[in-house]
Amino acid sequence: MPYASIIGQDRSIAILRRAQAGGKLAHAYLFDGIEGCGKRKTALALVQSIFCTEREGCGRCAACRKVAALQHPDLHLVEPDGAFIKIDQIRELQRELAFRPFEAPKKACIIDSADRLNPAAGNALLKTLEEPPGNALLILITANPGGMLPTILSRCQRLQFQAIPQPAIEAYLVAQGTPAETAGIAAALAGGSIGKALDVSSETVLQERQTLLQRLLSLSLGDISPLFAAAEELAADKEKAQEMLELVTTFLRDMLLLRQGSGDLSNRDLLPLLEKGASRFTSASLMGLIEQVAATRRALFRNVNTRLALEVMFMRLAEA
Amino acid sequence: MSYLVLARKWRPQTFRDLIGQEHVSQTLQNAIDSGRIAHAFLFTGARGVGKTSSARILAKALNCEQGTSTEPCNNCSACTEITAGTSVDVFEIDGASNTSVDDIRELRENVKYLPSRSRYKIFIIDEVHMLSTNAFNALLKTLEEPPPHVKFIFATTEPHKLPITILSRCQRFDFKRIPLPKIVARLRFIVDQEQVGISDGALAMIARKGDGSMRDSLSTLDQVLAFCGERVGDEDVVALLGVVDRRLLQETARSIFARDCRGVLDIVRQVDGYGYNMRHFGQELIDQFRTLVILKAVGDAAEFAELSAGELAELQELSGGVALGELQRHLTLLLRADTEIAQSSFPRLVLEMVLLKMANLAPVVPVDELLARLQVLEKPASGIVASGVPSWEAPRSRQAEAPAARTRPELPRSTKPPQLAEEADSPGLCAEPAPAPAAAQAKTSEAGGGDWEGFVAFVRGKKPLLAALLEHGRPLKVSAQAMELGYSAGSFQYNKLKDADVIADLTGLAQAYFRTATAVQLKPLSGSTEGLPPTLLEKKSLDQSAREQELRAVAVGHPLVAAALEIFDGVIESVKEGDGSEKV
Repeated sequence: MPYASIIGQDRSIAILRRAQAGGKLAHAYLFDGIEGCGKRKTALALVQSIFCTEREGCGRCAACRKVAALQHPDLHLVEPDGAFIKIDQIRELQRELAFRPFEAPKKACIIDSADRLNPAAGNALLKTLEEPPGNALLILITANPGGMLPTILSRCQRLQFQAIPQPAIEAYLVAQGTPAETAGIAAALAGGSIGKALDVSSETVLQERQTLLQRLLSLSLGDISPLFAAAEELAADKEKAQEMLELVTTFLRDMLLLRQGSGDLSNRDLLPLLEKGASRFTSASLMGLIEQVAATRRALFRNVNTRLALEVMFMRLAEA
Repeated sequence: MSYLVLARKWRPQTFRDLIGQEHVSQTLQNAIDSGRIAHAFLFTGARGVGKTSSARILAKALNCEQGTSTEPCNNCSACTEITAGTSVDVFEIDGASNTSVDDIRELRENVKYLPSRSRYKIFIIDEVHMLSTNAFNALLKTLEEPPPHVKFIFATTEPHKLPITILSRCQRFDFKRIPLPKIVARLRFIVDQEQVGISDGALAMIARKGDGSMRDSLSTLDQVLAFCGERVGDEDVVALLGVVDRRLLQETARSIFARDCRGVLDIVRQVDGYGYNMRHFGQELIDQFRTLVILKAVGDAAEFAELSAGELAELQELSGGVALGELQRHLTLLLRADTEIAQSSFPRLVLEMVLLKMANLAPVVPVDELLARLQVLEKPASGIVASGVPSWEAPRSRQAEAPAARTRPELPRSTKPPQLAEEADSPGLCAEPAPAPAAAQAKTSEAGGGDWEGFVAFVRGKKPLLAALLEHGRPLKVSAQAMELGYSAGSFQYNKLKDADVIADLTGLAQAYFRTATAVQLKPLSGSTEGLPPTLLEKKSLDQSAREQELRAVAVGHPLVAAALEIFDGVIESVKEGDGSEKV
């Protein structure tokens, strides 16, 4: 049962199932929720339940297995080609949707990362999205609905996927065989995303986190060569730099919470280090630093020189 | 036939069904009645307000077999074909997919031929703003003078993207956002037809979510119906739409005004626990603060906010002790956070931070109040004296103050500034070695005189970076033959300088300066630096403090300063050097 394998999205699944049972499935859905919370899985499960030849999404029949392997001739998956989904991809999709379905009762199309539709492609989709040929089903998936055209949003039924609650993630990780303590921390850091929790729960990542925090706390303006070295090393991988900034933000947040006397920490295992850090800063300077880290993140999004941006940020950290 | 979403099923088919766009339907109907039908129309407006629907209705009204009329019959084959999108004489073109000039050329080919059955050949170009520049320009001549049997109808959400040459050839109709009561009424009509039981409150919630767009409202209604079936309970709608509990919002505002940091953090935890979307919560909060600001500004917000009297009264009480300026600052912070939450991968954190910031916001003093205080200060000296000096002294001081106040305008100009300016200009006291003396020193060194300061100034002219490093060094030995510099071991400057290339550079420069072969040596220092010659930076700061002392002595001796000290019962905090140009 594909629906059954999805964690923590009971509400969205219930809505879809009821709509399906009542014959009120809309032709266009927008699945919106943070990265890694099961949107794409749910979309595939929905398609399976429509295409299934046995029962409602058995997961075993030929149709279900073809959908799971993305091999079904009536299922079209559109994903960003490079940074964007381009208009040619949409035109191609429109051509495909104009045909009758081969074996399934209707054609289905999943557009992943729909916020990456470039303006031309997004506009080209509008008419299809409003009145698709045949009775095709379109499912748009996005983690950032704010980046989409309002005209697209207005044509879809929007299904908000919740962030998965921490306990559910923790339980899932434990069931996967992660030690309970690690699972707790990973769940706290995952921010509701199973995908991220799995990433974080590996031992090396947790260890790296500790070294990073130690390194940050030891930065000083008195001796700046380690500071530059750290910036150079961390700037080597841009993707990683973003993750690192997120981690730094959680550290700062925890220190701030410690100062405010709240115990709801994300990095519980690093408490002694965090306390040491918290005693060094004031609440105001911590907030300033968080602002600084956010500014660095924004700068990285705009493609500035990663190393320079990190250097500046580290200097600010060391200075505070 | 599979399920048709409400927005498509209940698409208006006559002008009468078109909600909230009376100004458009009225104009079009009058035009049809009087036979003054333009050949090109442009429908603009936000999403889901009826542009495409109007275009189709207009096409039907023009082509209906019952004759051109204000209300198409919707029964004849022409009307039904248009509704189904199969009419041979009405071309509904997706302007966003067919953007190229070739598509327009094809259209122009087509324009020449007479309609096959109907009265007019009608081209509806939806999303027309996406046509390429070439496509637009290729259309211009046809659009200006089409054959009599052709009508164009353009629909777009973004009229600013159309060239003005296109705009000037069309009759433009701006569609308005649909007011909330009208959406609710239409929703009520539809649910009655669909035989669904739902309360007015729930419909209002749905309509509010639609934000002035009929299609958005209907999409939401569809979702609610799919979830709840025939009977819709209010609490189901609340749960489904993720409507934030009003009490939680008020609690947030209360904690912020009470500067309760823990309370604020607790609220974020609750929000997370309920599974609310952080961004949504933030937006609701923005809405609440907007209402608070309006309440503060006009007192009666009933017509600006869609809230009941009871809710307004609660908010009124909530903002009782908070100034308008402060509310506006809160609102600004929230608005800025909104964009950040949208981009952040950790929205909870952004929300926590902004709420903490709001709870820690330093109170503002209104400018009016500050001005009032200033005015008190400016009034005859009595105010000043009363505040600073014990009362029994007051009469005497006031007498002393009176002449001082009168002479105040002349005093500064006559004595103090010239004195200061003079000192600032005198060359010997300049903190940084000015270029002129440096050059002079460079010349004297031709004779072989060794001078550290001169050398650094010389280097600064050639290699500023190197000079900055040298400023940190202790000149242990400086002569034309050998130079020995001390740096604390392991310091950044030492590590930079010990590079062989840098040493070579330095030796070359020294040679140029002293005009003989000079050996440059670096020496790592550790432990106490006492007894060693000072670095240039240290020397500079020493010079500066000496200079400050001197200035202070001048200031203390000045009669005006002395008078000020006495009147305000003050102390001299610091003495700063003016640049000589400003008025004191």
